[in-house]
Amino acid sequence: MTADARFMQLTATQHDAPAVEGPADESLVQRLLRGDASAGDLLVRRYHVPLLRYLQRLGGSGHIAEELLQTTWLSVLEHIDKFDPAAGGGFRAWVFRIATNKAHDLWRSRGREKNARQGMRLVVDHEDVGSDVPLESGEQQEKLAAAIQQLPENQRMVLLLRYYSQMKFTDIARMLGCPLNTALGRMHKAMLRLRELMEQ
Amino acid sequence: MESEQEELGEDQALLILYLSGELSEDRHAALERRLVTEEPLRQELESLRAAQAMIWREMLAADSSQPFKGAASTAHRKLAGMVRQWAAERLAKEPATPRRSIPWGKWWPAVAAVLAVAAGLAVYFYEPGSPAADDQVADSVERVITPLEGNFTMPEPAEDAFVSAGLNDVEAELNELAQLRMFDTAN
Repeated sequence: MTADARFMQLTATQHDAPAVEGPADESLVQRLLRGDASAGDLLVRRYHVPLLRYLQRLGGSGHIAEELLQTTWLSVLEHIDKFDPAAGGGFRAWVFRIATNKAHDLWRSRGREKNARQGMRLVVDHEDVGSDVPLESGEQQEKLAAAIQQLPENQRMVLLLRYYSQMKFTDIARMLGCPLNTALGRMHKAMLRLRELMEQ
Repeated sequence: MESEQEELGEDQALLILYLSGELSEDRHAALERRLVTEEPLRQELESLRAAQAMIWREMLAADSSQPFKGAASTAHRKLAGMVRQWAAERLAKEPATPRRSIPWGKWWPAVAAVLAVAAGLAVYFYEPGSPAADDQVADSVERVITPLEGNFTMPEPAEDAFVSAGLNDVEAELNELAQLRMFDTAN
């Protein structure tokens, strides 16, 4: 097992929510399609923390992450009949793609993509009090949050997808609609840049 | 839009995939053989490994220091309620027992075509007046009539003999009367 694989295993067990074991995602989707609410509840619990963390780091705001999470699940329920289990990455890739698209939609609705991030940061300053998503605490966490936000969007997305969804790079590339080499290039640059920013 | 100049050299791509454990067994082994002999490649791997370890460690520490309420959070409760409502509505829309209806609208042209062809063949092959056809008709008539014959009682042979005997007696009596008349006329 590689160092990265060992680390991923560690993060999976140390995430702040208990890992939700049980039936495979695809089986839960089939049950949900038949109107089984408990299957839907299990799916929500399974992806609640990784999706919320991903959206929080992607957008930089707890409130916006919650809002995006809700619209993500609305979209999941609306389009669940079209979910293709045979598509690469399965339900995990599908739900993370929807979440990513929802984040993009929000950025577009708030103006140019480059300015959206700044806009989100302004919203965070005003709205984060009272959110279920905790604020960064401590100098190191603030530094990390700022460094992640400084990454170009494409690089940030690949890095965060890799960390929170734990998808393979082949699935991340397919999800983002780019060649594998491009996804790997973004990851490579993101890691080097983030280390540089953290060491400053 | 950020720069798209993100293409990697083959070795760098291999190193990222190596770190993430996504190389096939063969390529993994081949890269490890190269790492033994190629110092710059090994240095690059160690640099990437250190960067990744530092980033993952920081992210893990940041997330661990800010625990979520998880399933008890308002956001989760809202989502769970939304999914339950959706499932209930979906269940209500589903028919209790799925009925399979025959798609006549789809198949009726095919059924009509088969019937038409069958009728056409029957007309084409039937030749009125031909011996074969007549025999067929006769056979058919016989097949239809024979079961009906069972409804009639045929005379038994014994009864037939009895009737014949009766007729003989009448005939004998008539002959006798004729002879007597001839006798009377002669006298």
